[in-house]
Amino acid sequence: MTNTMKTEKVKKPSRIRITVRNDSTFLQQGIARGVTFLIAVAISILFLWMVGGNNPFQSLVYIFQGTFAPVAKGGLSITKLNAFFKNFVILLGIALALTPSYKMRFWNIGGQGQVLIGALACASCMIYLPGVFAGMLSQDATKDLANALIILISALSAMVAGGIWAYIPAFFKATWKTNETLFTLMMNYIAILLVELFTNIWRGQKSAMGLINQSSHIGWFYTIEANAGFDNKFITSSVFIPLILVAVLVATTYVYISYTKHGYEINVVGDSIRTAKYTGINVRHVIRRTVSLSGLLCGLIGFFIVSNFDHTVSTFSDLGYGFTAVIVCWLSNFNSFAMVGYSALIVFLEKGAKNLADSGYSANLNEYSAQFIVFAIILGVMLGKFFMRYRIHYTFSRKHLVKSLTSGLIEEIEEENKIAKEVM
Amino acid sequence: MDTFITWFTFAVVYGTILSISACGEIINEKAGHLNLGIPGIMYLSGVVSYIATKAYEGAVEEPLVIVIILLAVLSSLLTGALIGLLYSVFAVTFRCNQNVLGLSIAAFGVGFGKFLSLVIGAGSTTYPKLAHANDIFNAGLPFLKDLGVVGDLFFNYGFMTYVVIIILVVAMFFFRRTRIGLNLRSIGESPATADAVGLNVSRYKYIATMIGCSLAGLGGMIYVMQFSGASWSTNNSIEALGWLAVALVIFVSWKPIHLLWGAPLFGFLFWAYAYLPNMLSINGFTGMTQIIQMLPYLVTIVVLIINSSRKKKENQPPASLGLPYFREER
Repeated sequence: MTNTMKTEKVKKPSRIRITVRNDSTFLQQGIARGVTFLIAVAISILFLWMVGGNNPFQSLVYIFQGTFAPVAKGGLSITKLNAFFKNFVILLGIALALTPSYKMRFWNIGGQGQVLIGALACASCMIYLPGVFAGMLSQDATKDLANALIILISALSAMVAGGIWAYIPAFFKATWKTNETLFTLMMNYIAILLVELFTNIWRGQKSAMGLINQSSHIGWFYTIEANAGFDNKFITSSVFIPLILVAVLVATTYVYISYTKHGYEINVVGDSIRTAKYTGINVRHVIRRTVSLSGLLCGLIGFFIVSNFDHTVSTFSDLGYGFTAVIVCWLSNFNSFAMVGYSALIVFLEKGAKNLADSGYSANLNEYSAQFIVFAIILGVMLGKFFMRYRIHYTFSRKHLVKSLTSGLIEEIEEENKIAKEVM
Repeated sequence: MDTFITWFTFAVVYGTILSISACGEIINEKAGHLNLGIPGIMYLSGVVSYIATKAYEGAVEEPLVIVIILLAVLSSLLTGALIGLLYSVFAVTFRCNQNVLGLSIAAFGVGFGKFLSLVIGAGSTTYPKLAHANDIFNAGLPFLKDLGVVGDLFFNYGFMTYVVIIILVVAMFFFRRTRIGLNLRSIGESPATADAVGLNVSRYKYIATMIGCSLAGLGGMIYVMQFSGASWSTNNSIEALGWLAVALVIFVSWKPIHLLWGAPLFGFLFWAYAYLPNMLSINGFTGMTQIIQMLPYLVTIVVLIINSSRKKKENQPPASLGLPYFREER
C-alpha cells in the first residue's frame, strides 16, 4: 500500500480560518455592529477630508444642515425638513412593501417597476377620470364626492397595477421556478419605457408634462387644511398624512411578518420550501399571494408619489429608490423598525451631500459624494453582519496549525513513506 | 441601403460593448456570482479610462499610439479588477448577500463615476473630445475597410471590435475545452462538490470575479472610446447598457459564443427605433420608439420563461448562482 503512494506535496492550510459563531451574546453582536459602523463613518470622514480638504467636520455640519437647517428667526427650516420627509417616506414605504417578498427569499428587485407602473396608473386616472365624472364635477353639491371617488379609484388602480406587475414574475416563479431576480429586473425596464411612452403622449407638443390638473387640483391627495387657530406648516404640508400612514405600515408589517398565519407561511417558505410542503402549505399560492402583496403596496407608494407629492409622473418618479429600498430592506434584516433608521440615514446623507454641494464649501464635493459615504456604510453594516455570525481564527505558526488540524496524521504518513523508500 | 449600413454599424458597435460586458458577467455567473454591479463597473471604468487618456493627451505634445491604447485599456481593466476584488472580498470571504452587494456596487459605480467626472470637469458638464484617442479607436482595418459595402459592413470598426470577437472565441474555448474552465463551471454548479475534489473554491471565485469584472470594465471603455468617439457625458446610457448586458447573459443562456450573434441582435433591436421607420418609410406614431425599445427586454423575458419551463439542462443558470458557499454549512 505505502509503496505505491506518492509523496504528494501536502497543501498548506490557510493561516486564516472562519468558523460559525453560535454563542455570541447580545453585547458581542452590538460591538461587532457598532465597531464596523464606526469604521465606515471614519472612512467617510477621511474621504471628506481628502477630497474636500480643510476641516472635515465643517463638511459634516453642512451635511447635517441638509436636513436640519436653522433659520434666522429660530427653529428649523420646514422646507428642508419636508423635503427630507418626502424622500424618507418613499424610501421607507418601498422597503416595507418589499419586506414580505424578501422574507420569503423572493428576490424582488422590481420595486422600481412596480412603483412606476402604480404611478402611471394613478396618473392616467387623474387625467382621464375628470372627463368621466364631468357631470358630477360641474355641480357644487357632488363636486367633493366626485373628487374623492377619483382619488379612491386612482389609489385602487395604482395598487392593482403594481400587484399585477409583481404577480407576473411570481406566477412564473411559482409554476416553473423562473429566476425572479432577472425577471423583475426586466419588468423594471418595461415599466420605465411605458412611463416614457405615456408621458410622451400626454405632453403632446410641450417639452415637459407639467402638473396634472394644475388649475382644478382634481385627484390631488388631501392635506390637512390650515385655519385660523391652527397653521403648523409641518402638519399642513403634504408629508404629514403619508408619514402617519407609513408609520402605521411599519407596525402592520412587523405584526404581519411576526404574528400572523400569513407571516408564518412566508417564514417557512423562505427557510425551506420542502419543509413548507411537508407542513401542508400551498407554496405556489403563498409565493403568488406574497409577491402580489408587495407589488400592491409598491403601487400604493406610486399613488402617493403622483397624487400627493409630485402631481405628475416621470421615469424618475421613484427617485431611484427601487434599488436602494432593496438594500435598506436587507441591511435591516427584514425588521421594519430598523428600516426606519436605515432609510432615514440614507436620505439624510443624500440631502446632506446636496446641501454640501450647494453650499460651495469645496469645489470637489459635489452632490454625488453621498454615494461614496452610503456605499462605505453599506459595506460597514455588511461587515458587521459577518462578524456577528462568524469568527475569524488567525494562526501565526503554520506548523502548529497543521498539527492541530490533522492530529499529527501528516507526520505519520511522511514517516511511513520514508520507511517505504528505505525498504525499496 | 445607407440607412441600413448605419443601422448595422451602430448595432455592431453596441454589440461589441454588450458582448464584452456580458462575457464578463458570464464568467462571474459561471463562478456562481450573480454580479448585478456590472452597470456601475462599466460606468466607473469608462470615466477612469477617459480621465487617464485625457491626462496623457493633455500632458504630451505628440501622444504615442501605443501609450494611449495601453492607458485606456489597462486603466479600465484595472478599475474593473479592483471592484471585482472588492466584490469578492465581501461576497466570497465575508459571505455577504450577492444581490445587495451587486446593487450597491451598481449604485456606487454610477454615483462615484458622476462624482469623478464632476471633479475633473470642475463643475461643468461638457467634456472635450480626445482627438487622438478617437482616431485610434475608430480607425477601421487598413485596406479591408475600402472594400465597398462589405468593407463598410464588416471591416470599418475600431480594432476593439475584433479584439472582442477573439476574446469571445477564447472564452468559448476556455469553458468547453480546458481543465480550468471545467473546474470553474463545476464551482458554479456545486461548490461543495468542487471543494471535495480538492479545488480551491475561494481562489477560483476571486480570480473569475476579477477577470469578469475587468472585462465589463473594458466594455465601459469601449463605449467611451469607440461609441462616443472618446468624449464623455454624464448621461445614463452606459447604465442602461449594463442592465442590457445582464439580460443578454440569459438570452444566450450562459454561452459566450452565442454572444457573437446575440449581442449585435440586441444592438439591432436597440437602434431599431431610429432606423426602421425610416427604412420602411412609415411615419412613426408617438410612443413607437419606446415600444421598439422594449423588445430586448421582452425577448429576454420570453427566453427566461421558455428556458425555465423546458428544463433543458444545458440552458439552465449555474445551480449555485447567487448562493454564498461556506464549507461548514451543508
